Amino acid sequence: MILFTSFDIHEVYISSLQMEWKQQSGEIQLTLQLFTDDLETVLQSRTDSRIQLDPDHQSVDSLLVLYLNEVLALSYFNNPIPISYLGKKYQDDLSRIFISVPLPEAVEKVDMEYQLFLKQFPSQQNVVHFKNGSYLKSYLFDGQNRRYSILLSDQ
Amino acid sequence: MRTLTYLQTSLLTFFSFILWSQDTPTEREGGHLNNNKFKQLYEEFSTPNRYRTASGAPGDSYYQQQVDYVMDLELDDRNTKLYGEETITYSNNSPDALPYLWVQLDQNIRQKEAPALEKNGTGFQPLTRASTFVKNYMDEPFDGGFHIESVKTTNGKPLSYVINQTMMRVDLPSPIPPGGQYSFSIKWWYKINNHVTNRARSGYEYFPEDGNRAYVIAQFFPRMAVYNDVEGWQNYQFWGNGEFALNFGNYEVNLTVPSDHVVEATGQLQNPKEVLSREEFKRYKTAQNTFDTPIIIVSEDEAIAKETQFSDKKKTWRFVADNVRDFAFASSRKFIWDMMAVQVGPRKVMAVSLYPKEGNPLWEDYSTVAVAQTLDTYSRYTFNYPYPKAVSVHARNQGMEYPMICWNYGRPEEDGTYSDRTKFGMISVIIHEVGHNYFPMIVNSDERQWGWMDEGLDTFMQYLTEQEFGANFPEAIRPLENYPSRRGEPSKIIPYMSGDQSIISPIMSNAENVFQLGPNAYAKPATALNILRETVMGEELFDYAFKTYAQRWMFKHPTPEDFFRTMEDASAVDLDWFWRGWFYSTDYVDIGVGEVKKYHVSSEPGKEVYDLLEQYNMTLEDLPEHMMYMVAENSDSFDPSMAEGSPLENSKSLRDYIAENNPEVDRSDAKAPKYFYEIEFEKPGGLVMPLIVEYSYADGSKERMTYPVQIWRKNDAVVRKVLATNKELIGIEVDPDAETADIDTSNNSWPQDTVESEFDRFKSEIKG
Repeated sequence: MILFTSFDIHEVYISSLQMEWKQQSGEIQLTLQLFTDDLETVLQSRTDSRIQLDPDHQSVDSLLVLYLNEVLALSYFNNPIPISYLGKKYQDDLSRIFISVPLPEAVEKVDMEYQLFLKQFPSQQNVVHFKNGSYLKSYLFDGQNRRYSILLSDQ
Repeated sequence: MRTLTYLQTSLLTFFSFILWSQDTPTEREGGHLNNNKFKQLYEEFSTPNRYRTASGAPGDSYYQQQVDYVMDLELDDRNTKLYGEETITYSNNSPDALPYLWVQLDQNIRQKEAPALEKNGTGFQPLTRASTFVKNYMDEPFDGGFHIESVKTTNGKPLSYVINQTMMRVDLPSPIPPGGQYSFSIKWWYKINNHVTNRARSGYEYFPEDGNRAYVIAQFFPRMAVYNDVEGWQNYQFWGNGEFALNFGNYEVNLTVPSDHVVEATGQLQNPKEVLSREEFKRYKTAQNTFDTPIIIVSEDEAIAKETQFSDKKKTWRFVADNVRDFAFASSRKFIWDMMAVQVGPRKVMAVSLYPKEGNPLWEDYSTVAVAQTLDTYSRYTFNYPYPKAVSVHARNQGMEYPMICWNYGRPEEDGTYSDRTKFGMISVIIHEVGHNYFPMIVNSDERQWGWMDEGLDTFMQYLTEQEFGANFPEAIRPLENYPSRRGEPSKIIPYMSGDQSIISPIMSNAENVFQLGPNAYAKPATALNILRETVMGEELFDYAFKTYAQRWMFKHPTPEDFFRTMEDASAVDLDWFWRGWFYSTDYVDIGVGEVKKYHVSSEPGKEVYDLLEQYNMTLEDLPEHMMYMVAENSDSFDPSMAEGSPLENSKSLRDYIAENNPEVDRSDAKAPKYFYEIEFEKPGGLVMPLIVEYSYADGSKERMTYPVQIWRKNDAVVRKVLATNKELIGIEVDPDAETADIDTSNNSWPQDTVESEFDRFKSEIKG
């Protein structure tokens, strides 16, 4: 059997987000990898015009930026940190979304609220891998766990 | 015989003392069990016996039960009900007398009160969509499940039975003795579910525009459970994820449907002349001998013309299937039907497709050719397809397999356009589901217990088939050069294997209890087999062993051990380490390169040698003859002049030794290595793998070395290798072709690569 849970073809709801803190360049680099058909379903549910996610069709960047800002919120000491969408790439049935988060000063931790696709797919699992040099830590965001404090180093 | 001088003996003691003294802990450590990664799997495997041998083949006492079915079925399209009366003939080939029989009632998972509906924890969302709210808290659950009208002996006497969820125990008047046979009948009906809203493997899709339904019906009749030497009765309940454990047998099925329906099912159609129109029958006969292109039996126009008929008349389609483990069928007046003959070894097999007009233009173009490609590729790697046909039926959102027939998704937009994702998704699912004919329909593993045995092997074969499909139909994949397989390539499993350990289970887990069934039962085992084939065993050894497994267990019931043992038995490659790491654990691959030391042959001893001698109160004169002095480039005693000259020029000991002992050795400098490197390889990951290294030299040449996996057997964390070469080393890369699924490649290069991350690459791309 092929298990499927969305209107297309893959068998699990999962995404992965690589977060790498580049202290020298003063930013956290986010690379979000997700199933294109999930993103299509979610963006489609937010508009009446037909969404088709491939390079040949119309840009969905404005919709996507709105959506990302809704499901991903970063802050430190209750100060929201704006996220900056750089662009995306399609490969086979996956999309990669590149986001830059400016973090000019060294802080101990960043609070993260992250609800990608949770509203649409209750079994969605979003894995976050944080990296700072050799320090690595993974977090699992899902319906039960929508918030974490991301420690930026192991000190 | 050579004798050791006193001095040599004392030196040996002296060197071994150094080694020993370095290792002596201050406190005595406790003992431990055998934790070696190469330890054989005696504890994990059961003891071989007369049923299943240590070689992985069926033993001389191997047995399996035979179950034959004669069924009369009627599909009530208006009321969406299915009625059946079946006679089961059970042949007890086991050495045990059986006082009762277990029958599977899979439809009971759709009962209102089914425990399976409550198998998952739920959370309450502060923000909920109205549709979800209605579905969760206001809708009546679907009223499904079997209505068992009677269970009777062949003489019509009622048999007593007990139903426990999805299992029914039929109590027999007297036990069936070994070698005995017993027949009984069950009469039943159930209400058919909408598989689109219910997300089920079986049911109907409703088309509101024309009021028709397309039925894809499976797990629809009470089926005998498997009794064998491994599980006894396999009566683990059907909870929804773990699929099926089923017996081989012969089927005779009379299927009554509305007279305007087109039907496909497991087995040979016995009465085509009766159920087809004259014209359809003519095309059907033509198709049996047409090998180059699919013949349309029922065209799109003909199917559309029937959409408004809703005939009240009935027709009975008769099917006979030999040596199958299950029976499924599809029925609708909306179906378009095409087929062509495929030569598979010595046999002619029909590749068939059945789809409503909603599947076109995609389905008429690709379904039947994808079926044909699957039969061709799989047959070459396993055994010739033994059944007379393979049918691909289009069902919305479904990919599900049965003997000779399967349901597949992939539907164009309403305007007939479709994306590449839809097209490749459709071709891939057809290959996958038709491929399931081999695993588990014929190599009949127990899906209820081991989802990976069919899904993993099938997904692995799917990858090979997709790649061949791409090569054979380049216009279908243009502008791509290779078919975009979603799974199989090692790099694609990295996100899963590097994930949070708390949500990863070993492959050797029951499908009901894993966190991410897709990667767990499909992608990881498929990738592991691909790595085994390409990197660990090589294609020749792998393919022979894989084929041996398929042929040994064709029409039989293998266990995981039968697979593991056969792969070793037929190849002489010890793979216990591989099964242990990839299948029994959640370890991952991470191998890197650490410190690299460069040594020179020196004419004079360096400080390190003097330090060593002094420590033991010796002098240079105490050393035996022909000792050579090696100085590391980062040592204090290194002098750049040491890097000049060849080892022969630099070492009198070497010259003397060769002159005295090996006068025939070619003494030209070209033969003697000039550069000596001690390279440290580190392994932060738990999996052991062959160590694949590419060395780059100053002259621009490269050299590939594969150190056997056994290199890790005495030290699981770090190994060192000496590279002696007459070219200067400028670079080292571990796993240069990314073939081991190494989850962290930042430590794979020396000098440490400052590879631009994908993020930085993207950033500079959009700036440029």
